[in-house]
Amino acid sequence: MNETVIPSIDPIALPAPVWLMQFLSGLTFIFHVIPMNVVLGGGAVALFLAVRGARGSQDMYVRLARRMASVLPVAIAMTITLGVPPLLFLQAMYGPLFYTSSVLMAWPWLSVIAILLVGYYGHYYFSLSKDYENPRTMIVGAVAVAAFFVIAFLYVSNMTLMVMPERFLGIQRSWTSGFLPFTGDSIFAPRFLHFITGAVSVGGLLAVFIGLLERSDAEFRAVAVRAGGFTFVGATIVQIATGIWFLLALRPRVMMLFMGQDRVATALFGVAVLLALVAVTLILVAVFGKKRPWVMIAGTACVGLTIIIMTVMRSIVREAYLGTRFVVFEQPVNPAWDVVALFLVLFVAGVVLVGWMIHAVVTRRGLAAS
Amino acid sequence: MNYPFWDVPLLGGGLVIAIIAIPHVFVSHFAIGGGIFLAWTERIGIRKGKPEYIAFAKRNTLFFVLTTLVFGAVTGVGIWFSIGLVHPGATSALIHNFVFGWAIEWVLFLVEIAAALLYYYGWSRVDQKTHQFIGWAYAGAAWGSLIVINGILAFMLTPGRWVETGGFWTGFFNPSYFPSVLIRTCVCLALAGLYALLMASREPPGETHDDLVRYASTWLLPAFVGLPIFAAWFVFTLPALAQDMFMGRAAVLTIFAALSMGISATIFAFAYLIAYRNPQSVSTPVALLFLVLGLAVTGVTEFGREAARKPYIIYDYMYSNAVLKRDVARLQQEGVLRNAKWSLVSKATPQNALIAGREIFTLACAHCHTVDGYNGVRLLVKGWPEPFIEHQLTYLDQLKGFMPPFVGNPDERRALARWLASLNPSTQPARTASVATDSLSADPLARGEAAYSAHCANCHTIDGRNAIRQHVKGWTQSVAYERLGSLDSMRGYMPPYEGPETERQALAAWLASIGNDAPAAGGAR
Repeated sequence: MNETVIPSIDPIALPAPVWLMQFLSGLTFIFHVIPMNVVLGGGAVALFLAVRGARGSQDMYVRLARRMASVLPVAIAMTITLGVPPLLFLQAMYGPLFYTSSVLMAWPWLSVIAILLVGYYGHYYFSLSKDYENPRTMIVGAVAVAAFFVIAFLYVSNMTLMVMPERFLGIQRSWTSGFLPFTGDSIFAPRFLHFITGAVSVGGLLAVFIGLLERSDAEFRAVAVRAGGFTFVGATIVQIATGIWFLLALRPRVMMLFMGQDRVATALFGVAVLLALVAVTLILVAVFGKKRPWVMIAGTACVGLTIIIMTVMRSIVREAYLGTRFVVFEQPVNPAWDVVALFLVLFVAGVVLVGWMIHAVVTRRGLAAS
Repeated sequence: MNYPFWDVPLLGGGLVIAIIAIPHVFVSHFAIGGGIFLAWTERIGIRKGKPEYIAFAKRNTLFFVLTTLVFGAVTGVGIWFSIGLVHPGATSALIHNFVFGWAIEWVLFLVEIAAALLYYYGWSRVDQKTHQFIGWAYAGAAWGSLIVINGILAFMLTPGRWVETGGFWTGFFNPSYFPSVLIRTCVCLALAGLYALLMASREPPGETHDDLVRYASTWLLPAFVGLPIFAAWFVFTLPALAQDMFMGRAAVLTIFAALSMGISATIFAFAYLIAYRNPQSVSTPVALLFLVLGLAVTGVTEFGREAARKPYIIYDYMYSNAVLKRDVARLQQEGVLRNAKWSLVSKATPQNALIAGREIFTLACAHCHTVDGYNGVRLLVKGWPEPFIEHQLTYLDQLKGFMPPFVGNPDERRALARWLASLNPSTQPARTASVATDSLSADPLARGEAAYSAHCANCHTIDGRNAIRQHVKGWTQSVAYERLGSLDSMRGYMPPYEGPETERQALAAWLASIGNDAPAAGGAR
């Protein structure tokens, strides 16, 4: 079934220019991706360390797992909260595609909510219980980790389907419509693997940071930095491999954009690969060298920059897949600048307020002197 | 018809939304009230030198934080997921109009989440003044998110001038905005009070128990005073049809409104007579029972509020089946199938009537009806002959005010009627025959009443809604007989009477008899 059906664009014009919504969507997506990777990868690495530590009676691993697990509930809250705006702007700009792909995998998509509740409460239990000798804790932790992997799977599925409107009618006419997630394209597997190996890398970075922030126990610091560093480097190497696979699995005309046909796309791709390699090198130096914090920070900054570039590349891939069938910039716009300005003012004020409150709690405001 | 339809057997999409939305509404109101409760209770503790109040606020912080962060946040996203699946067209319209309203709500939610966490972690990490500030930031941001999202929710029921002018602020500050904000604020405080009552009831018997129970019960006072006033104001802002539906036109809605008031009154009576006046008698099971009643009244009221929007999903703009009001006339001419992007057929013909009918049901009806489950159409049309179904479809919005007009062309209406009639094949022949001659009774009045039940009772009651007694008041048998012959010309939306002669005579006799009788005790039948 080759007929491409795409719902009509909403008759109500967008209240802000598409470029602004793209920018806000991309910006908030980056802020969402960081804690999300911590949850996904950090949870998996913490569980792995907890199992290894409990089985091999390696207290350091158990301690590291506990410290990592303690970060998870707050990271989940941040992931959900920071995940709202990109999804909001995505719906505003790509509604005809996003709602359709969601309906075509409706039950799995809706199940994200139930799975998220399981994962969220599971990680709370895993982080508060701390008793990794207890099989119940480990089972709950494993369920929570699995829950977030399933959510990642479903998100990749929906986001992949939404850029392939040529698949819509075939799925809608099949008996599986609404019941199965979409996996039927060669880019699905590499995209998912690329994504989750990236998360494991970030999980490794979390362990490294926990180690570097430890000042009193040199042994713990060494174990955490080493375990985290190995995880980061190993996962990043796998991620580069899955990235190559992902690139080769793209439609040839899309792949060629990154192979010289489009200068900007090619440059971004080159810089992203370079930054990933620099990040690996710097973090290897930080882990196995003199453990200088600035090297680590520089490595992490490279990872952050890579994430930003990857976000831009992701949107290039999306527009290239859609081609002329859905041109996001060709939508009616009737800007409501007063509301946009109110949002931006409140956003800045909100960030300042949150920053001040965090600062107050961290610096023990009012109690520090006593 | 712009988007593919998500078919949820038995439950229907609306119920899926309700299953997620009702717990969310309860928990979110309760969490917003909780933020204010914690900050205020801590303040009272500091001002009045009551450490037990501070300890009480501290003990309950984790619960409110977990409720807000986990259940509130996740089910809130859940509503968003579910409305996107069930009503993508309406969700898209709302997002296009209010995307920055939602973005502003998100900023407030971000502050709420951060402040809630910091309030929890800050109990022993900052001085009292700073902690109070964080508490009020938590409460203010939580209430701020309510006043923003309320604009979008109220808009769906009373968009006001937005339908003509468009624009964010016109839609946001719509006619029911302010009464809704006040109602929801009262509900937030009351639900926080009910939760606090439960927690206070767990204190060991003694002065602290009684003091905290009495204090918690006072949180229901704003709702006790404000809700009747604000609810009346709210009803006053509703469209006339929604008011009628609350006042008896839709029996379920009237029952829900009565339940909402009844349960609320019970809760307030409990709060005053038991919790405030006899705090020592408040035990945990009793407090829990009233918290559950709070959930029940939230569910009932929200359900009623949603139902009052029928036949629209966005009042005066989009019908509940996602058809824009302005498109109805065009679709009635062109047909829905021609405009349906995902349909198997593009035209209804006598040859494909059943397939086309099923498709039209999906497009025009299935947003509210399932076939066999919730609001199941098979049961609703049971016993209806095909011509009667078609007639009902022709005047759908006039006969049943809470339903949208049928949007297809005449061929599609016939196809849908055929398909609906096919749902109950066994009852079709019985309905086209005479019911009066089937009746064993020799009494013409009894046969007339049987004919009434068969032909008229689908739309009329005797003394209740659309009361037949009022319509036939003072009629003689011959007048009734004559009128039965011209029903469709007398009132355009009534079907012609098509029963046999003897049945018409019996029905006329019965109508004349009730038209000259006083209403029987017991009211509507």
